[in-house]
Amino acid sequence: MAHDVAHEPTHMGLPLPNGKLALWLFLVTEITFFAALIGTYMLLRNGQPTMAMPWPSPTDVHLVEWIGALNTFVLICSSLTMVLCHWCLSEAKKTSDSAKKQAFIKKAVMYLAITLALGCVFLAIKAVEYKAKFDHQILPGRIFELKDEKNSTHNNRYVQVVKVQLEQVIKDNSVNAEAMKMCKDLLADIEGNRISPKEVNERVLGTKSMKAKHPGLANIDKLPSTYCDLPRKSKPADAPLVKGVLEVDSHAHLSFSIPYGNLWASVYFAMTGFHAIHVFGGLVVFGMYLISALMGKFGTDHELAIELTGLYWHFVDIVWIFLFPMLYLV
Amino acid sequence: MSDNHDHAGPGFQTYMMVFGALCVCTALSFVFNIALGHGMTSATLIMFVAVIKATLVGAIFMHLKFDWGKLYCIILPVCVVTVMMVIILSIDATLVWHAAPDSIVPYPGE
Repeated sequence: MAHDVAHEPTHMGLPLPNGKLALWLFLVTEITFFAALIGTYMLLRNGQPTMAMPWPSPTDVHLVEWIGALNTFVLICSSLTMVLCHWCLSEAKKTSDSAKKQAFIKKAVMYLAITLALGCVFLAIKAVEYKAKFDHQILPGRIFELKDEKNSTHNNRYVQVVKVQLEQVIKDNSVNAEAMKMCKDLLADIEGNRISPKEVNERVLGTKSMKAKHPGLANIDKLPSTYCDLPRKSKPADAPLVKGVLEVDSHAHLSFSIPYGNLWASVYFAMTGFHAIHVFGGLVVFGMYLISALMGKFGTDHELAIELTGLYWHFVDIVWIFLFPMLYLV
Repeated sequence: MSDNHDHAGPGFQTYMMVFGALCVCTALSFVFNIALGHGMTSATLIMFVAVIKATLVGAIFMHLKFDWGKLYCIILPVCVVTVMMVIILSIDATLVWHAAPDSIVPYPGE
């Protein structure tokens, strides 16, 4: 396969091998694809959310910045090993010394294997991140967004879910003593129907955490009273803070309101999911080359094919270079 | 064909230097995030660093520094379309933002 690509004639027009031209045409369609995803993310992020109900912060949705940075480092390393693989094949092609040629080809195979391993590490880290999202139900359509004070079906369902979660936490004895007492009190209040969905959210999250999450809270009096996840009316700005279970024990598996959480989850899984599929595609191609290396068929004829695969892999790296700051940092 | 394809690409040292620069840039964006928190300044700086990283990967790892003369006619139009799309979406996003009933950002002139 690589042999055929390497010997394709250059047509009139662009002084490039056909394979390289075709790959660049493919890459520009990929640029528009990811630009559309990123543009949509920007539109959603800067569109409806306001100062009072901002876009979820990384901590709201269990995103850990250093894990994202680690994944960036892993992909950068893989880009380096990929380009070194191509460099080794170029050097092997240039030299006429048979022993040197074989040494360069051997090195190229080693770099390719490292690239494959690093790509697998990237996907493994992503899988760990996805698992955390599934564990905390940070999934499209599964996040509670208490946007009004009415006892709507959505809000009442939130209370029922928290009730089940509290029963589980108490049964498993999975939190510290202070949090356990708070859980029992909260469960008693829910069972006694003495508490609104808004108050349940406050007692899970704690009003101090909510104030820290909402920088627009200083202007709370100027805003229309439509949102139940902010302490207002019955809880004026100088009201004593309500301590939340999660403030006492952050490991408690209790749901809380994340405004725009469903929208966030949709764009997060769309962007990182499509990127992960591209990474997987690259790994399949690396695997094919490694198999041909094991069969003794990998050599300088593969130089152009490896360069084209490298172009694709570096593009995947560039996409992540933009996804990482947009999702984890900004 | 093979002669056409061969070019004086970057060497081992250049690749290692670019790799070092990419690592430093990643650390920089992390430091900006910690030092400046979430805000317009940090967002601008972090995205600027991302553009530098993407340029380095494109220019050196993807050999665009050497192939640009042959490929600009494919890449430039797509870049123009991408920038145009971001500008168009930004206008729409800003209008929606101002139209939000609880927006605390005043309309121009208010």
